[in-house]
Amino acid sequence: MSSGETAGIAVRAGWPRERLLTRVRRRWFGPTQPWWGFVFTVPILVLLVCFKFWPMAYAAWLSLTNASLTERAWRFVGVANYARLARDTAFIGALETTGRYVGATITLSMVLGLCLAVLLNQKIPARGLFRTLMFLPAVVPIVVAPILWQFLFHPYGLVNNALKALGVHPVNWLLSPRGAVEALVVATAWRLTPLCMVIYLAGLQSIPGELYEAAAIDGAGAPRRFRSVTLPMLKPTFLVVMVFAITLTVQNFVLALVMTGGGPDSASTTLSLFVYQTGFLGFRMGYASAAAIVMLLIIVAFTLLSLRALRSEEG
Amino acid sequence: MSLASAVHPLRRLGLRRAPNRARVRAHAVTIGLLLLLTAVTVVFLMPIFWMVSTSLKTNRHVFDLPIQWFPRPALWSNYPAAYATVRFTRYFVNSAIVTGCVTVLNVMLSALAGYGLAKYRFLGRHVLLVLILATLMLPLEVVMVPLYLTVQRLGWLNSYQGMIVPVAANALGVLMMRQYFLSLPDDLIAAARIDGAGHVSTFLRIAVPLAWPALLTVAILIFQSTWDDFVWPFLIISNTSKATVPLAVQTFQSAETSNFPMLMAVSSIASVPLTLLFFVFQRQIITGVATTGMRH
Repeated sequence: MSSGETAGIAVRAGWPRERLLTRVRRRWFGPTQPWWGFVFTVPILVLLVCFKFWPMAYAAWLSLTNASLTERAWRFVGVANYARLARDTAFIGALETTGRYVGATITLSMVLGLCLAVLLNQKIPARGLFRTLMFLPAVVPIVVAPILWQFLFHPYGLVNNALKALGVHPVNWLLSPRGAVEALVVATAWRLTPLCMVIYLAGLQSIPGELYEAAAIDGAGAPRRFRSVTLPMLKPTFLVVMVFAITLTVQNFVLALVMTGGGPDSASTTLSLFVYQTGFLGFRMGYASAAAIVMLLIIVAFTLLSLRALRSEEG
Repeated sequence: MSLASAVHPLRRLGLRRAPNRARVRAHAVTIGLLLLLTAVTVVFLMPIFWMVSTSLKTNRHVFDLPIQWFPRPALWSNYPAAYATVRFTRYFVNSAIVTGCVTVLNVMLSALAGYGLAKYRFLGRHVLLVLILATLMLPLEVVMVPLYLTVQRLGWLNSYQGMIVPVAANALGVLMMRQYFLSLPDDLIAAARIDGAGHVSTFLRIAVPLAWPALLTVAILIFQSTWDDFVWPFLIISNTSKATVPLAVQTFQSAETSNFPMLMAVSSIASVPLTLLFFVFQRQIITGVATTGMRH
């Protein structure tokens, strides 16, 4: 530890620069034997390299080939897969569906989650019980949620009964192109909202109470306090929730797979479901990998954008 | 701040002497909030209630109008029937094997890496941490095609190791363990080292026993997400003898799409383990979700 710092000072002071090898040797094999730290991380690194980094590189390579599950011989085809994706109406449709699905889902669950978190942050009796109960949808297994909602959105199901009671014309949810996506949005938001709520609650509880007291003394009413204290203080939490919600919704295809199967007529086929169908049902591994890379780029772009926003917020 | 704390007791005094009307208003607000919350909770929990309610009906009466909220008579016999038809025992055992192995492996690997990254200052540790954290942006769904091909080449399709090893390493555990070990005083470790303990025995005898709350949190979160995982087993398991609970549920669903009471009974049975886990370890699960903001 100490030798590393001395080396740093030496370089900064303009003394003859150590050779890289000497520096590495000092910082790794100093008296506190820091190289042991690396030894501790080796096991997980091996697994991550084998099952994360290698598949990632493999995906990038596959996306440049015409690989298929049924044929042995693969050929390098350059960016042909990407060029074809840009012209593929099924892929463009999946992108559009994903945009609508993700946009609606995260808006719904972020707004609802915030409202619930603010409600559950008030001083009311049985607050803990409500928090527990509200979290239950997130506890339902991911494969059970679509089965449940498929039943609720049945033509004679509970949702249509509720609509009838409200005087609205019932909808054939899962068999109409718009209804299928809307049903997916509701089902996903139902399971996502409690998770958003919990993150918001943590953010709300980290806001110092003095701020509210000061605002109250300055004569701010409850709505004003929400707008001028809660919302600005919650901005970092907001970004965290957004990244969380977007990545979870973009990647998830269990709900679409079990609930609608991407139908009717691929109207509810999202990007991740498209990757699955192309790769595992259509056996076109190269083409599916190209679509998967596009999906990764979307996730990375959103994550980096929000990280940057977060950093500028803090800095 | 000093102003606020100076005024605060006065304000409280003032409130205590407040006219009745203000107190009544405060009560009214509380009752209104409670009513609102109750309504929202009822709507949110309706799907779960409806699942249990439907699971106690006969198939003929599922869509009866007016709606039968509490079926009479309640057909509790649907549950043993559902359990027997799906032959759940096999799948519970498979899920337990896979989830148990993944959890143990993951906790061990995370604790090791978290300790190494928090307590040693070696060249390149920041790069290593960033590399590990970057895998959080890489969901299984993105690499499912190459991962499948890799596992296929290893000959691990339809096997326990195929379900366990590829998902055993998770950056989330490393992040949480590192965070915990950073808060552990360096002096403790230095003292053990001066007393002549080796690196490994310092880790095992000093760091691990102190870190059990963090280890427990990681274990619970990993257990939950692994038990719940559907995609990876779905991709590599085609043999029912190795199937996990979520796979069994999905298989039953695709075979019996319109036998709703059975379907709901199967869904309820499949939901029991995670629900129990949640009620026992509620604090760990909620703080885990809240602090990491990510579950996968």
